[in-house]
Amino acid sequence: MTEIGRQPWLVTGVLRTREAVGEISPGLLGASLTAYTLTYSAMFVAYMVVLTHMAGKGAQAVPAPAMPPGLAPAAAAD
Amino acid sequence: MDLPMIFMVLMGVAVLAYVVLDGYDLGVGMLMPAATPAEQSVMVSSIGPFWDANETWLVLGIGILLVAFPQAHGVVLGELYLPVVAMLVGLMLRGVAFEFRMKALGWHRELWNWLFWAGSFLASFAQGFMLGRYITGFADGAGYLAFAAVVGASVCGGYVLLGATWLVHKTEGELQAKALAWSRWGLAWVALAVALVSLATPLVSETVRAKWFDFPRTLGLMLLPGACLAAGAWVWISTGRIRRGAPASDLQPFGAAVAIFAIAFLGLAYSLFPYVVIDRLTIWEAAAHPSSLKVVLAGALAVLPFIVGYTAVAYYVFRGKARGGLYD
Repeated sequence: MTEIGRQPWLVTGVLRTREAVGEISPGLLGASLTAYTLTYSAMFVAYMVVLTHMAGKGAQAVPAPAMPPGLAPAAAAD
Repeated sequence: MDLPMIFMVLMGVAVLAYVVLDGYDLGVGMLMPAATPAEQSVMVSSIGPFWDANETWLVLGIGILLVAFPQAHGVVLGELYLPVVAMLVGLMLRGVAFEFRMKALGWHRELWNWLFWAGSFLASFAQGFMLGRYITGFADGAGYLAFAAVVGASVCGGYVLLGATWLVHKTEGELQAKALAWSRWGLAWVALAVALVSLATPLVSETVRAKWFDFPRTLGLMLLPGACLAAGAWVWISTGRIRRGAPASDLQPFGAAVAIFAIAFLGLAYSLFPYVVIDRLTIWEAAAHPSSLKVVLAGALAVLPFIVGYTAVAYYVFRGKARGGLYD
């Protein structure tokens, strides 16, 4: 809403949107937007699949992983 | 030294740090298909604590380009729009794949491994392609695009060299032996990349030609290619020594590979200076107003010690050989 209300200025009183637009062809812009959208959609699907899978497994006690020497927290001594 | 000069040096340092640091973890990503599943686990562990911090240098470099040289930022990123998009998609894929492959089993893990490789390769190729476009001044024509593609491929080879020599340092046994062989393959590609870029820049630009072929200065400048050849020979010799079990630090091949990149970068900087866009825009023409540069410089000087500090701590804490299974 703030972006629409600001038009035709990009920086009010200083820079018009028309003056700031880059010289990228519409085809290229469309292609990059499509690429980003597809990538993020695929990532979202993968994310949901992983979350569903992990939630389905339910909570279970996980043994503490063996830490390499020197990395184990000192508090583990007690 | 005036403000644009200071920012040019800062940007140069950030870009070189990025190329060397993210270069080795992108290289390890590209080497994944050449390793067994157990070795892949070790390879991922060898870059695990470092890879995403390495990418902050890219953000710093582009950030300096934007705030200190806004005009150049507009020209360069406008011209390189497509390869930049390709690089970002590649970096996103490999970042996500890096996290998900640890949790995935069976063919899922194979899929994420493949995406990790593909993302690493796409990002590296795109960066090399950008370098190829940048040094020819974004000249149009099929020949220039083919040139950029060849530079893209050879930058992939250069990152493979960094990745392989990193693995020589971080691994042992059979995987280290493999990494020694990979290092030599990478070295061949780097030789091609350095030769191509060194020959192309003077051919493309009169200015660059005049700077390198100006006797007797040329004789002094020959120190750079000489040092680069020496660093290449050092990679070859030190990998040979480690393979034979002769006393040699396993950090030597990586150090030599970094030296190749640093020398090539210096040569490129000498060619381009004072231009930030070759033959079009000098750093003074492209620089922002001094008052804004001062503010940004104060911010940069406050932040940089922290970046350098936490980087040093991370490399110290996670020193030594990497083991598999930390992430599995």
